[in-house]
Amino acid sequence: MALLLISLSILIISSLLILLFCRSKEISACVFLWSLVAACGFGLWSALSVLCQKAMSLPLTGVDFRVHGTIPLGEFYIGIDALSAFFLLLFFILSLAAGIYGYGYLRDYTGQRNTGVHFALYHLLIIVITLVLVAKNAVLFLVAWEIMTFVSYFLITFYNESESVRKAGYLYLISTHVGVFCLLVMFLIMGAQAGSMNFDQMTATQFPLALAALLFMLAFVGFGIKAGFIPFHIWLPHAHPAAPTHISALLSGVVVKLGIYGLMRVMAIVKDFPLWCGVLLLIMAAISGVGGVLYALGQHEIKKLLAYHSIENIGIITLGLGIGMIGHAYHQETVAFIGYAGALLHTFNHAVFKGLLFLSAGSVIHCTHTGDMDHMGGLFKLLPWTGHLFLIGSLSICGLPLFNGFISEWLVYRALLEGVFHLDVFGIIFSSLAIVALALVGGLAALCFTKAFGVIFLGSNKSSEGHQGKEGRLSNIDIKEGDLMLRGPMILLAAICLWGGLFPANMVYFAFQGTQAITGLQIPFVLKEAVINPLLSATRVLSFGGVIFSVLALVRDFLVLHYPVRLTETWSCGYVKLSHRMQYTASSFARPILKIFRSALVFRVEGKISKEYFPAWTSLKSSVKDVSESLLFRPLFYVIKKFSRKLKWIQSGHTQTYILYVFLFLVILLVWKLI
Amino acid sequence: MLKILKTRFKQGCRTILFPKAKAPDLPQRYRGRPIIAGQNGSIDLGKIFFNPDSDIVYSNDYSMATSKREDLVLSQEREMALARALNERMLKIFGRSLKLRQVSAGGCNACELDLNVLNTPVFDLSRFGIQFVASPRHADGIVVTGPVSRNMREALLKTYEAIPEPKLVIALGGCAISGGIFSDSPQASHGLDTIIPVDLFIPGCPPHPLTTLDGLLRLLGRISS
Ligand code: SF4
Repeated sequence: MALLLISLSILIISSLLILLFCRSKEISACVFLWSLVAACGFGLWSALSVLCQKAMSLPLTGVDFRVHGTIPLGEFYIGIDALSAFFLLLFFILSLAAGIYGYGYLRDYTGQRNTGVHFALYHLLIIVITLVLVAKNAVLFLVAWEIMTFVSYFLITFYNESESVRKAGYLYLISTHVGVFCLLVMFLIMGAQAGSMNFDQMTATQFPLALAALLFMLAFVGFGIKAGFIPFHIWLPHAHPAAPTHISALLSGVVVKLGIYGLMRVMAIVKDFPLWCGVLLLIMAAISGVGGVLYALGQHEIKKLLAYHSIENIGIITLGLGIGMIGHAYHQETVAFIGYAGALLHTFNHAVFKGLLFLSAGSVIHCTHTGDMDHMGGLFKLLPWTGHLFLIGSLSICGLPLFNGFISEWLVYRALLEGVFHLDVFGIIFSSLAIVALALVGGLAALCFTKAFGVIFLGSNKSSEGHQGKEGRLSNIDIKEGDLMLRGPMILLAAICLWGGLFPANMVYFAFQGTQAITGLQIPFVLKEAVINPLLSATRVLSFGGVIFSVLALVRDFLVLHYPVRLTETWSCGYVKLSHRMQYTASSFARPILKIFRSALVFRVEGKISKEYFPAWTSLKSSVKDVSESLLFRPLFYVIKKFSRKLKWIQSGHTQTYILYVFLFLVILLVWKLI
Repeated sequence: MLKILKTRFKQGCRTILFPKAKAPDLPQRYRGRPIIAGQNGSIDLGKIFFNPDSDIVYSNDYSMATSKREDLVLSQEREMALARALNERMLKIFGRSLKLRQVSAGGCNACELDLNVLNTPVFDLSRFGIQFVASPRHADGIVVTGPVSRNMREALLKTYEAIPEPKLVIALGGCAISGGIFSDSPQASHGLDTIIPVDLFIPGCPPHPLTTLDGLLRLLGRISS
């Protein structure tokens, strides 16, 4: 705990220092960098020291810090249990990487805005997120949560000169506020039931099942908006592309995960939910997973694509949570433990590989000055570091062996299979459907990243045709790899991806520690062994395969060394006017799959395919409409707007009228009190 | 399917035993290698059309493919030099598996049709490991038919370029060898060997499948004279 407090105080002091020196770009950036490294170091240390405890005493004591009576109804009461520690671990890793990257990214920024303020806000965000994660009091939690929303709003709208960025920021602000409303109600009900706003008392309280269901619904909507479940996800694909890259990484890696954290916290507080809650969660998870990846397939904008993948991964995480809840409702602790552990581990892994993907996508955008994948291509030779790092991220997110995504998806699969073996007919049906959904998600994700990687890095460059030489090299824009400040954080994250995939024991162990905090039960040691051991032997075999494969690849490279390499044009069936735009684009690659799913998506192709032998002019545009955005929320907003226009007369804009309102209100209160 | 199997069974094996045994006798009206004896001057196999109303006398001999362009010119003084096998290194690469890409460069399509006949059960080209493939990237060589019209020239060059080294080029039919009946046209070129190096010339208009097969097998060293 002391370590965490040190880290927090470093952040507070340094953010003040940054604001003090924000006139000088160099000093503020320097303070930012070093304080960030120090604070994250201490933070990581504190998280690890909690996670590494061998036997956890339940409930956790001795690591709390409280200041009585600071806020009305609440107090400044923080403490780290294994669940908080697990999230702190991923949070500090990612904020370290994203912060260093942001330092490198904004160093050669020459615009009007003050980067010092941005850095100070970044520190403030770290502080409030840490508070959200360690708060043991509902009021503190809500206050920190609100501040976090505002701070992240300011960080997202860094490039606020553009209209779309401002709009995305508003959308984020409004939709998360709707969420906060639900959370407020939820915590008030919990507090009323427990007689205290402290999480400890709430945990000790027994909630009746009906109330638990209500609380679950409130938490589901409130935290679901933050987490980006379909159909509450609409803010997500707009906010991610609008934000600067390091902020999108943090947004997708951590802020979205706080929704998951909130759900887990509620599960830890209200232990017993009716069965249908778990089933609902499982269904929504499957919808989010499949929907997210399908929408991602239809995107042309790289950051938007990654944003939709966040929704997909939230779906996978929630599948784990859902099966965990179902297992809990059936009193099958094995299912619950493995499900929760899978969800937790995937949360960590997703934060790492999605951070990596966002950062490398940011490097690509930095070099090409566009986010449109259809204008990229052939960047692998020009940006070898970024290319390989993006590849590692893609392999991880697809859940392929030797990378960390595989381990967590394995755990989720394992939980679902345990569900098939241990539950009754009802449970079996849902677990097997969830397995099918997970498999579908995995396959489509692999397809989507084949598309993303292929269109961005392979082939030849599709932009500004007139300016490139024969091999598709750009000659007018010189594309250069970023320096160590940009590359370093990515390498760190990629290393964690590989470490998590090759030596999974530690992370799985940590995830199990976290599940103890959720369920409040001690995990039998046998179970840990039973889950970890097959995983270890599988990774051992797979890494052996990996070693053989790489040796073979090296041998091949060595043998080919002696043969001359001949570069020729792409084979185009003898077509003479070959151009760089005649390649697979993001749209054409995804079209066959999207066509299959067109009953579930609004997939539109505008323009017509010319049937003449010598087509003179033709245009084609394909797009995937977000169903919940365009069919659910836009009409809803429209109705609300119309309705609120009728109430416009209240807001007259005259100060006198407002004073009158206040006066009338006071009179009403007085009268009410008198009666 | 049962019907097909039954027919197959009834018909038995139709594949000719060539080159292990002699090829079946060709009918009298087949016009093969011209008989040079009694003629004056020379005959260029790449330029004649093997038509019945010329004053050339034709034999029944189908083997006519050569490795060099000048070998196609028959004269009193010289024996006909049929195609020779590839060198040791090339044979090692192509001897047992040869994938070819066909380029139809402006001919009348009869050559392609008779090339196609090689894939029928009677000739069964694939038993020699020779196959036609769809992409030059998979091919070891090209078979060019037609006079390489001006519009096809670049496409042909691109195909040639697209084939990985080492590569073979086979000129099939009078058109490809010399421009054939189109040789007067300004649109046609005068022989494939003026554009790219050719390894095998197979004369005929169109060449009989046996002529083609014989040429290919000689090139691969399966038949030696
Ligand atoms: S050689 Fe004769 S048969 Fe072959 S394409 Fe030319 S004209 Fe047609």
